[in-house]
Amino acid sequence: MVKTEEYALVQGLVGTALDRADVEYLAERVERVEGGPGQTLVRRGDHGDALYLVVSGELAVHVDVDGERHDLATIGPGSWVGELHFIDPGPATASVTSASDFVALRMASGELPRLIEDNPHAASSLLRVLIREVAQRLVSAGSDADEQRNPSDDPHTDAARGWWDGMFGRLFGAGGA
Amino acid sequence: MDKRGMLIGLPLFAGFPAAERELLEDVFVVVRKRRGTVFMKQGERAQSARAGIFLVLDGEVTVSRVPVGGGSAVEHALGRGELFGVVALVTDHPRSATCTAATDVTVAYIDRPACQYMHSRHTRLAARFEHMLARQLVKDLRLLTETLVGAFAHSDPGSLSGAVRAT
Repeated sequence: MVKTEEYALVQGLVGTALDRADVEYLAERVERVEGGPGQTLVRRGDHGDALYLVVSGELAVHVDVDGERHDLATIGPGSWVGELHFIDPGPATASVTSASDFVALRMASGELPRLIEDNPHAASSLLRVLIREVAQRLVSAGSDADEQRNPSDDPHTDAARGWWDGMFGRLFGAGGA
Repeated sequence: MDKRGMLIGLPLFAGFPAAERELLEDVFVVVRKRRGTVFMKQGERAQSARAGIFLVLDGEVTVSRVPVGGGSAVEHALGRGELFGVVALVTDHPRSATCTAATDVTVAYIDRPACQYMHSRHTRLAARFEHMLARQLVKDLRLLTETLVGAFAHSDPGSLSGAVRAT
């Protein structure tokens, strides 16, 4: 029995890159989660426990340095959370905390090796989506970083902040999948 | 070591079952190139059928990147087991760097049609290979993120110079 709601959500968010059988298989392995504002899904430095695909709502990507919170980007529907750890277990590079009510699809972060063994076609399709996502962010944020080479530009001035906002948006995939 | 041993003996493939490692020969072409051979040039758009991934099996390849904003080229060297050409293959973006053989080199090459062949005929190998590629990209993205976040949080954009490592 296909999980109808999850199927529709996976289909709507990444379905153009996957065939029907892959979408059905993945829909069986995700759970729909929801929460209110202030819920931290990933904490910088921690090993996350899941991959999330945001269905609705807004989440803040932020880091805490010397006790001060720096908001870097706002992500929303179609954005991934925990994708780096899902691919390659390691400490998270930033924290992600919900800024509103939200709905997301969640898959446990240890699922990928099992997916590769059990259904390599679906695993390959999902990996292709994630590879394109990571490569795209690497290219666009990398190009931005190339351009920002003037040490006198304090990132916390109003004039510079727009550039950093745009770059962090691209770095953390604020545009969605 | 023969060409076959150079490829399937790479640490990158150490986690692959032996039977799948043997299949790598089916999808990669192993070639020797002279010092000075230019594999790709920054700014070129790889024609989609010719776009491919290179794996250094022996020797050294120099990756040279002129920052988009200008300034002098930033270089780093790739040795055995390191990859290049991944980003252009999956995004169709122009090449982000120029890659040149710094010594006589042996490289393994897989192009887009061979990737499709692997996906349709050896799907589990393809998934494992794509997982390995994804891990390499994640390592680069983590490095870039740490540099960018550090520069922002410590108000030090000058530290971005040379931060971008082409993949």
